[in-house]
Amino acid sequence: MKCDFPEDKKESIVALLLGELSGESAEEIRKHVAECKECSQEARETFEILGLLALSSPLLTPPPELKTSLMKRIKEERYARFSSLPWQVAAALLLVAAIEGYYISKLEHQLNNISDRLAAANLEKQSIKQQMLKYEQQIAAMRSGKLIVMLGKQVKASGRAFWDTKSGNWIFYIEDLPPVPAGKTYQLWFIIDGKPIGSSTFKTDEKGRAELEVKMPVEIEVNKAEKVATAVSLEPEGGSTQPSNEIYLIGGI
Amino acid sequence: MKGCAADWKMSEQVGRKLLHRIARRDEAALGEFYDRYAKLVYSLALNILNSPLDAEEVTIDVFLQIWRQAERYDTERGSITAWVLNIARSRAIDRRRALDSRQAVSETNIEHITRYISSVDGDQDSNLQVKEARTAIETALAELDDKQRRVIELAYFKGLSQSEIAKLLGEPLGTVKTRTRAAMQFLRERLKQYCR
Ligand SMILES: [Zn+2]
Repeated sequence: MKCDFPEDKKESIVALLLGELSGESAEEIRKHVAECKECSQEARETFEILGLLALSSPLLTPPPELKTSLMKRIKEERYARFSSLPWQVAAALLLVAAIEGYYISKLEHQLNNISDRLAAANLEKQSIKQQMLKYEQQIAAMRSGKLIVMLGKQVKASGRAFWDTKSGNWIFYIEDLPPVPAGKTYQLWFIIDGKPIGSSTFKTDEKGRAELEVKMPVEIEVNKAEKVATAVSLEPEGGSTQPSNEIYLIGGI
Repeated sequence: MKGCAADWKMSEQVGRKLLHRIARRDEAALGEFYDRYAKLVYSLALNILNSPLDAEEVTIDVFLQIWRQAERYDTERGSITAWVLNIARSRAIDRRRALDSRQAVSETNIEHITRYISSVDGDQDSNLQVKEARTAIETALAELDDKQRRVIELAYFKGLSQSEIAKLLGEPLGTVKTRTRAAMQFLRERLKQYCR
């Protein structure tokens, strides 16, 4: 189909993209562009050129504190969002507040997901209830579980290990580990009664963080918890059966 | 030139993934998105507004808008870079108009001027794709004739409407419109590897 849009209308495409047109004149151009292959291509390419024009500005770096204030504004908005949630979700959030701040952001994320789904109104009431129950259980598990703070040795790393004593699962949140050298890996250890037992090997992200969920390799009764310690060491790729001297993190209950 | 446009598109992919995460309210993703685009947004706002303080506020507004409306990004309409800079331009132009109408030429205080000067970084640490795209647009703009370049600058950076430009230049509106489109067509042709 050949385009029969008059030239002077085609000349208005750029004005439309620059936000200059409104009302009927904008609508007329928009409607034709949506239907005409030739003009929609012109509009798309013109849109890109307008983006490129921005690049001809002298390049300057915004002050670093600008990012900090942006992130602060976003946190504020996020809390404003929570206050408009249904009471069940809000109640769950209150529970969360009792737990250490570190976990809050994780749960927030999940709660946020729920709130988005609520907004979409696509989930049946029943399944939302089940979800809520599940998170409440998770929160309860976190409250009754054990927390191990891991401290850096030789390096400034830190970590937290959370032992869900009911399920026997351990969740590790590790931060600030140095980058892994080639051919090496980090390995997690459980130290029970002074005896190291090797667990997962892992890599950190570019910020030196890792998040792991593992089962303890041997069963141990909760009342013997004080005999459990955890450690992270640097090992050859594939892991080891005995930790090397390069132990970077260690912590006990 | 082909290769760098390909990199340009690769960087789009990264931006797209970040936007998906932002739509799911991932703060870290917004932080990364900011790191990728803040410099371009801020530089454009500063170019339009000529005031670091106003440019900073526009920059914050732009990223807040992206945070709230990431899901509105439509791949059909164009690239993420163009989308972000289009938001930035329209925010900056709106602010410019508001300032003009109040006749309040925004005061730039000493602290801000020093900051402005010390932040001119002459491209040292900007990423390669941006650098190459910049060179491409600057070369293409230099190839336009002066009259064409003038209408583009007045429309894009000063936010003047086509009739305002006609009045300013003392030329018929039709001439200005035709010239603007001809300039855009030239740029599209010269920079087609970036916009197809
Ligand atoms: Zn058409």
